[in-house]
Amino acid sequence: MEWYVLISAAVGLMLLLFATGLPIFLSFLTLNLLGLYALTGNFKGVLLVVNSMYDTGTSLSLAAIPLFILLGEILFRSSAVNVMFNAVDAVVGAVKSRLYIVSVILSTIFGALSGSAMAVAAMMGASLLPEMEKRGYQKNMSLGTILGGSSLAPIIPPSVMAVVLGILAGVSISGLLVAGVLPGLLLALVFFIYIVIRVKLNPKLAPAVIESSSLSAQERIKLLLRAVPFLAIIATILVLIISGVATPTEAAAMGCVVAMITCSLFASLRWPTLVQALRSTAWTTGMIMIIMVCSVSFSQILNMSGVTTHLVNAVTSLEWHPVLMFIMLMALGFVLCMFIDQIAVMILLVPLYKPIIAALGFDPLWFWAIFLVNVSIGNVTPPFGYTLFALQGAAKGTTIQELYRASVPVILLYLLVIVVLALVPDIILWLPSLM
Amino acid sequence: KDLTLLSSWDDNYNAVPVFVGQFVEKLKEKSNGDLSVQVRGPETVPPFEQLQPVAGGLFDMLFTHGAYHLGETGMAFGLDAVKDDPIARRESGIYELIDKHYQSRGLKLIGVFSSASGYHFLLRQPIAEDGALKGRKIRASATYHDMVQELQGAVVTLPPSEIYSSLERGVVDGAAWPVFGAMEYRWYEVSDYMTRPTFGVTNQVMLMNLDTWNGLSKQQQDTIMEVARELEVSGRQVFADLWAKEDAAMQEAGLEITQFGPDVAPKVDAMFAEGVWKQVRNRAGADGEAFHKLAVEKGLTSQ
Amino acid sequence: MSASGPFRPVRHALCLLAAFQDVITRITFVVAVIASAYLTLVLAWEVIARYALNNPTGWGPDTAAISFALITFCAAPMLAWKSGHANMNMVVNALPEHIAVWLQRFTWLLACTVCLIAAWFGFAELKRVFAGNVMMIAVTPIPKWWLMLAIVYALSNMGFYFLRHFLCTWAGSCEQNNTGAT
Ligand code: NA
Ligand code: NA
Repeated sequence: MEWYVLISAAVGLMLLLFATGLPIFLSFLTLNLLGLYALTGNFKGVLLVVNSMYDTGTSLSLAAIPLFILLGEILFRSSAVNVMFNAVDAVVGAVKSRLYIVSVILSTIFGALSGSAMAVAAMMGASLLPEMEKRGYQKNMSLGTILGGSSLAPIIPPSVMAVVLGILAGVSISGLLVAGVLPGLLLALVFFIYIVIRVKLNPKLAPAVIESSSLSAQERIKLLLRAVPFLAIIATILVLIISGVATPTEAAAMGCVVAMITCSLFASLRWPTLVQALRSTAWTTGMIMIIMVCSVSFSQILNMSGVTTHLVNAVTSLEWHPVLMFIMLMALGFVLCMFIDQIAVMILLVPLYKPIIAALGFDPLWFWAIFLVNVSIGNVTPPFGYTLFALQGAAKGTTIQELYRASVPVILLYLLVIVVLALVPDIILWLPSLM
Repeated sequence: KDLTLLSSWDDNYNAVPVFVGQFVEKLKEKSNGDLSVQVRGPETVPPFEQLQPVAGGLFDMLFTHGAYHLGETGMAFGLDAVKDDPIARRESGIYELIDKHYQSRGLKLIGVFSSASGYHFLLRQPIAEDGALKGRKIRASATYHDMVQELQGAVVTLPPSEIYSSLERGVVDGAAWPVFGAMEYRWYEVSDYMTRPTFGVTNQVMLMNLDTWNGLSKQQQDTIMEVARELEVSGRQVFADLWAKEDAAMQEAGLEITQFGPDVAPKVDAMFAEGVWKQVRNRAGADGEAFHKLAVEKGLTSQ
Repeated sequence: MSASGPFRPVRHALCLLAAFQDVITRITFVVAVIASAYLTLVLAWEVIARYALNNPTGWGPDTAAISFALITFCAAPMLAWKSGHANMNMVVNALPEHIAVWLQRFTWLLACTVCLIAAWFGFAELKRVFAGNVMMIAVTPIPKWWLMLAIVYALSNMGFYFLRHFLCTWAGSCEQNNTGAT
């Protein structure tokens, strides 16, 4: 059979299986078993899948995933979140469109503390959103700031997605994590500017009355100081990674221990909360890792069949302009992320992209960091996006259509930033170059 | 006949173009195109999991290092402690022993390819008065575990991708690796010394699925063996030249030689060999014992 | 649909079996929780031991790798039980109910078959690494069958849960208590 028939059949069948509602890890497993049967004529090759499960399951680089999840769980389940909220609230003070700004700053900080966007969206949707509605902030804008802000979580370290992408793409996980810092901050800045401009153009978007603040300067500083220990957590992780003292996985473990200590001293972390956090970590890790361990053999089987080589030869022989290739590679990821789970998209595309971008001569760190931003938007692109669902679940009485509408400006701003990142590679490459 | 070969490394590792590349080419030539080989790399099956798929017939051939399937058996790993002389090795009867051992696992030994060089440590600080690695943290895999302890160092387990940054920041004081690697991975930038004398011999082994082997005609089998035997000698010569260049390049790049102390230096090869033989006996049982005994008998090992 | 007549004892036995399966799943989930804690502590300790005490453990990273794998394979069956595995149910939700039910039945059955096939070949490999006393390649020698066992357990237990979900689409109530995430 021709290679392009094989690959189209494989991807088509994969999408069909996703659509039936079959769990994602089983869609991959089914396709792997079928692929091996097609290649060898029997099921003996399942040995490869089982050994790949073992190999991926024991990969210590991926072990950063449960640790990043645990870190977020500890912070969100103890009242560390309130401390951060009060601090940001105190800093922003009494300005027009105050809560929009609080929302962006807060979700950036939570993004920097949490490894996943869903957690941030759910948390903000449950805490900040009702407050914003009550005070007369426009709902569409409120949802937009939360969607945009929470999507920063996979970009700013710690990030589960960066770990997965680093493993799949074979680039330095430390590098990819650190590379996300400036693009994440740039995105936050862009959201900030967007809010200011929108409210300036249409003052009705934010409550007319400037909320009077009863806090004294002294109280503000006190609230701010209380947040410092929590920022030490993210500092611990970043310093350990950038200085090279520890691997990203070890840095994550240290971050968890620092978080446990900080949250039991300065927030309300107690034994039952910690046990709950660990249970939740095991649950989420089981969900993400079972997909990883069952799907890594997908690219291995594509390699075995020779499809990868053919595809790469075909794509590189197109001799398109690199800019056009870049746009095409990103666009394919963007479109797939509209419909499919992002980790699944990465597993499908990254092994195929890897040899292609090597042939094109792109800087791997630059390309994959932009790809990470690109895939992160997948969280909020309709119709399928975990952040959309998480926010819908947390924000009672919000319809999915409202969220779809709110996501449009966020997506456009993201695309704008992707163009900037593509044109100014130093935003991505500068911090990793210090390592 | 079209054969598939599973390689533990991609083309960037210099043993692949030298041995696999040459093997494929020469085989095609000698068999007049009757035998061709398709190479699949570590992206198809992870390096440490490759033995069983070849034994099970999913691939026809395997090009790997003995330590990569140490969990299954230590037999091929033992070759790293055997004198680097392809002719003497072939004549000693060692290959028959190894072949017999792998045949019981459904594999046929095709050839053993020496890189004409061994292993060393890259260090941040020169060897001190103790003449060994006393109190130093050394990044090492299972291959060097016993040796590092014998030299009174502490083993640190880190993936190869972390070697650069951990040397740079002093997370480890040194790293054990084959003598090829410092240039390719730019470790010369983050370490200043390399230890001498080197120890052991880096070997790659080529194996074939036994059913595939038995399914070949006598003529095809002879062609394969002939190509392998020639390549054991000619490939080794290529590596001897490569090694001379690499050694010069490393010193040019600023890696200074630091000698083990006078009490330790004569013993490092034996220390390494002892660690290897321990693994061979542990992981390959009676066959491993016999292998060690024969190597000692023939004067092909320092321990 | 109510069970009656000759089916009652069969049904009773099945429910007992299901209860037993649930107990096992709960126990291994606790193992996954403990493994999460162990992973965190041992890796943090490794950094301190290596950097501050100048005395790396060696066994730290090896046992961490095992505990990481245990989280995955000991927690996954719980997700199969509570239908917590990530999937995309937009299409199923959009279909009319009588069609959706059949699509569900198809996916449960497919899920069960795939898991059990993989478990079967995993079991063959488990027997092999057990008989051959194959070790994990690490500084500390650890038998590979420990983890192979966890993989086979996860695959087979998930397979049986998917079978249960399939059967329950016919039987109505029985023992389904999908109370959502823990
Ligand atoms: Na983050
Ligand atoms: Na999406």
